[in-house]
Amino acid sequence: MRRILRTPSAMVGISLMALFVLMAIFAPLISPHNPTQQDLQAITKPPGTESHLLGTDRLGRDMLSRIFHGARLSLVVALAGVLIGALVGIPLGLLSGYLGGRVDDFLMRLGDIQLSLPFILLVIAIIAALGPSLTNTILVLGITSWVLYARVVRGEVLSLKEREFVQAAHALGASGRRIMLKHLLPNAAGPLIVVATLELARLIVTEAALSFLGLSGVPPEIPSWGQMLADGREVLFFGGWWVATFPGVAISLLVLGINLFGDALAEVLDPRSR
Amino acid sequence: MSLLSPHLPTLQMLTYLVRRLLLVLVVVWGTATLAFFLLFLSGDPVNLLLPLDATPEVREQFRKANGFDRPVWQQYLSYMGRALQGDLGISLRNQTPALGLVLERMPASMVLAGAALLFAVIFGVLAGVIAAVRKGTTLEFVVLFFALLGQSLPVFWLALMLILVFGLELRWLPISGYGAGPIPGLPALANLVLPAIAVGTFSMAAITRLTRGGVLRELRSDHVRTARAKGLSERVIIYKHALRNAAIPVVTVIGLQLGNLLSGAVITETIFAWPGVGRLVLTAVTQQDFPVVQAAVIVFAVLLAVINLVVDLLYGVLDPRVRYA
Amino acid sequence: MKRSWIGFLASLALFGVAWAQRSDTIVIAQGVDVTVLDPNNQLETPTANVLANIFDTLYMRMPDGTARPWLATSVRAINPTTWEMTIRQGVKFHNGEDLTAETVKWNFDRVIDPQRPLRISNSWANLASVQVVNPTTLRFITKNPFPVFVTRLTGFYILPQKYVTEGGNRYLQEPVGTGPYKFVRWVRDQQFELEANPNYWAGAPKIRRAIFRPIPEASSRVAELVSGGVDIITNLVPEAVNAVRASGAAEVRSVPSIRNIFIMLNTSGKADSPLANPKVRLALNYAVDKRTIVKNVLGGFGQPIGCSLNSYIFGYDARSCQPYEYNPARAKQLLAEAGYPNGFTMTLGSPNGRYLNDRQVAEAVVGQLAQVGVRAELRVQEWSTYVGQILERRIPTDAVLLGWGNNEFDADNSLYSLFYGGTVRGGPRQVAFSYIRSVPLDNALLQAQRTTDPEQRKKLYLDALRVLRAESPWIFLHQQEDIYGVAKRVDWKPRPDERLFVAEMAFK
Repeated sequence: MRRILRTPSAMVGISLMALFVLMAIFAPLISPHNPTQQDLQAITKPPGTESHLLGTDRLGRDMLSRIFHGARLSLVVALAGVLIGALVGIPLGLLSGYLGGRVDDFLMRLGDIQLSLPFILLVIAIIAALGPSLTNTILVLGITSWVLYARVVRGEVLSLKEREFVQAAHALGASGRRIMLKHLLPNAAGPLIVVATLELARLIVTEAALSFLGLSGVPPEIPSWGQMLADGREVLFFGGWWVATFPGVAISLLVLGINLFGDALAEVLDPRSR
Repeated sequence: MSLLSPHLPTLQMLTYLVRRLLLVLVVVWGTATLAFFLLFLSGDPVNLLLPLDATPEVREQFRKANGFDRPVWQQYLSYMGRALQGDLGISLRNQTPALGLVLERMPASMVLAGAALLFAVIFGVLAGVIAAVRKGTTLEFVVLFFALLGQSLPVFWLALMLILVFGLELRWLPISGYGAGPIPGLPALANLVLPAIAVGTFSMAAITRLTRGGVLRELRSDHVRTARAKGLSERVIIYKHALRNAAIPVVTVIGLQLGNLLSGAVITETIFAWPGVGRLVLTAVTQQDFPVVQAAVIVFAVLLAVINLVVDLLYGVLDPRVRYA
Repeated sequence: MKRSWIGFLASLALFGVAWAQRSDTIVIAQGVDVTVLDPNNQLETPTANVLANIFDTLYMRMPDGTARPWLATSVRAINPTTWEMTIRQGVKFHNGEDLTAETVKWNFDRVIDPQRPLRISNSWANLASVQVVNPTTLRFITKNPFPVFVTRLTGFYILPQKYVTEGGNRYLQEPVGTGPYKFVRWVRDQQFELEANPNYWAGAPKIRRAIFRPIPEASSRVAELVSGGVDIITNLVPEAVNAVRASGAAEVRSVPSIRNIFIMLNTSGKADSPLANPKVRLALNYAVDKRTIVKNVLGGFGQPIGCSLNSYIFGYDARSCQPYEYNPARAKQLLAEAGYPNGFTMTLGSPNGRYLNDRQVAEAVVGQLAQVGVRAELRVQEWSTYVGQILERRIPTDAVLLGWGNNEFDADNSLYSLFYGGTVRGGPRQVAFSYIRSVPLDNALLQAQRTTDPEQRKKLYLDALRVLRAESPWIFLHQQEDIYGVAKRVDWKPRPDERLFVAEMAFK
């Protein structure tokens, strides 16, 4: 396992992830400016302007500081979404696999239907009905991603159901639930972690997309990469390419890192998926 | 199923077909139900169906005229009834039937998704084969790196960057719009290039990796070794054996990728001023034109369900080992 | 074999790209597409901009703000509630139908029909009935005196009676009017094509064809302008101005707009809210540095102002409309006097992209208010949600950023609609945007609405403005300046009412 994690791509992935996580944690300490401090005398200044390494945005706020703080929002929202998805998906998967029959059929069909829709359309439609707010966004992102976790867990349940030692344990009278929890979850942990990692990357991009479209409900005073992209849209080609480009690069690098790391993890924890 | 004689594949196939068609119907019904209940998510559905400057009197009138004062299950039935006849409501903004608007824009989105798919498959398979065949070289590394990059760049950001570089700086391609193609209704080829690349990159990257994995597996497999032992040229081995078998997972992935491609289209159509359903839906969402959003959800579900069915059948044709159980 | 394929493909590509630039066609890009093809049943400026080329109004707004007879040749009030109008003779619709007094009557009947109200019906609530006197003369009977009747005619379009009533829904797909341009084709979300009407009663327009292209991405609009794909773009962002000027292909042309931008303060139902105190409201006005906002956030495009009128509008008074001075020290003092020495918290709503840099302006205001201790939390919303809440008086925030474009160029539209508080009965129902309750104000506004004597009206509006100055119901910001990007080959001056009349354009 260690060997695989030592490969150059895994190392790059871990480094990138670590970079952004540290960036998010230490943002207030490493930011040269207050990310919400406006300076109307210095709006949309290019990178390299005094004290603004990456320039300023359309209200004179320091881009570098906003990139650092933006990492917080992206990671927190994505992590929350992953947690909710897992919290919803894992029990559903357990139910589906253990109970089988109608319940299993229904849940898997529901999952199929959901996966068959363009994800963003589903999310947009729900947010359109609910109204944009950060809580709504996190809930919607989380709840709609239950399927992958459920499928992994269900797969494990099904395969272990057949295995002898479960049947043996049953014969000895151990309660069904105890069998499940004791044997199944540890086995499912590996693939689940891989799914969670890849979902993390996907949710970071989805939140950014929603913010870009103005539908994520992130309050304006919280620096957010997606929001910064939306801000910079109007001046991307003329007047201020840096306002939208740096957040885009940040998102790409973070997601790249997570993907690299996720790939290496998958080699280790879930070789079947390769 | 296992009792059926293996000499009656037609009956098996038919049963399978019927079951899959039923599934399509279930999916469509499920989505229509979902779309119906979306209306209630915010509380009063009338809020979502009338223009915002409608007075309370107009709202009451609308409520009575459209049965929103009746019990939910009654509303549901009449909604489904209307939906079956093709009436999915009237667009608030355009005052025309919502279904008509969505269908009118479908071709543009389909063209975009199709072109993106073509791009993804052709370049993805090519890159995957190159990476597999040249395993261990820098070329493989470069291909894999770009594949990973392709899966990491947010699609809307990629779209903007493509326009910036190829449309504005280099002036090789148009900046926006559909253009006029050789046949009325088709876009100009030049206008299709950047949107197709933006939308298809993620899938292309996924297909690259999948193809590479598949080809590598095949190259190690027994029957390829036999083919080599027989003295067949490397090129024949790759094209005839490895690729054909590696194509199967790619075909399955196409069905999955379609959802991805349409997602990408939804976000990027606005950026490219592409007149597709994605742009329509986004405008509808920001304008609170809910009937259009509902209609789009249903149409997409139907389309994807049908396409997935077709893909499944294709999969069966490609791989005779698949059982129709 | 291979070479001919490449050639074929290349020519296909070129063919696709070549459509853009033709010497007899002008291409105009707006951010959104046309929605409905009935000009009297919709309220959106981008749609009106296109349709106003196909349809004529009875009176036409001139760039200087005056209203000139157009399809009508004269209008006069024969008594306070009756107007007599004569119609121009010999005008034909694009399909050959004649314009007569009957046609005009039918158009108005359609708008005041209580069974099937149109989106503009609210503005004509004061009209009781229309009578035809002879084929070129009409009488309008109003319920109350209607001094803004003539100016309001500039927003009322004339449709062809027979075509609409006998053609089913065809008029909603292929519009027919009397205007300088005829409808050719509408490919939704792609382009709206018009061609010149050679028989136009006021003379054939100079440009033969016009195409309106909806391009949602602001950056792309500028890119298209600069690369020659488009001739006119609207709502140019100040940051892009230098690039456009430097491009050599296009110019930046701007015009002070009819539109004022302000922050409306919501004091409804909260008697102990800080905003209920006029001293606090005055303090907020002193706390905002409008000049800096205009200079930096709006690139110098705009004019700070202290009321909801501007110099285009009848009833404007320069003294009462002077911008409030920027004086944070005085603001803090007033806040302390009002009982808020440490400031207070409030919420501010703002749209995003409806007005020029609206969100940035709101954020700048938040920053400036913070300097005097007022902590404002900004909530940005999509326009349709936003305007719905405002129209229904269900505003969830303490304040909202808003703009008001007064197409009637008369203070009634800006003051009555915005400030009439209903303390004095008798006024037509309005969705008032101010929560001030002042009897002298309402009296002045009502009387001015019913008096036909302009001098008297001016005096009444002066009274109203004085009350408003004392009450400071809003944070007044600036008069907007509309910025357009125009290709060098186009000879056209932007108008204050945001209209894009192709008939006013020509190629140099």
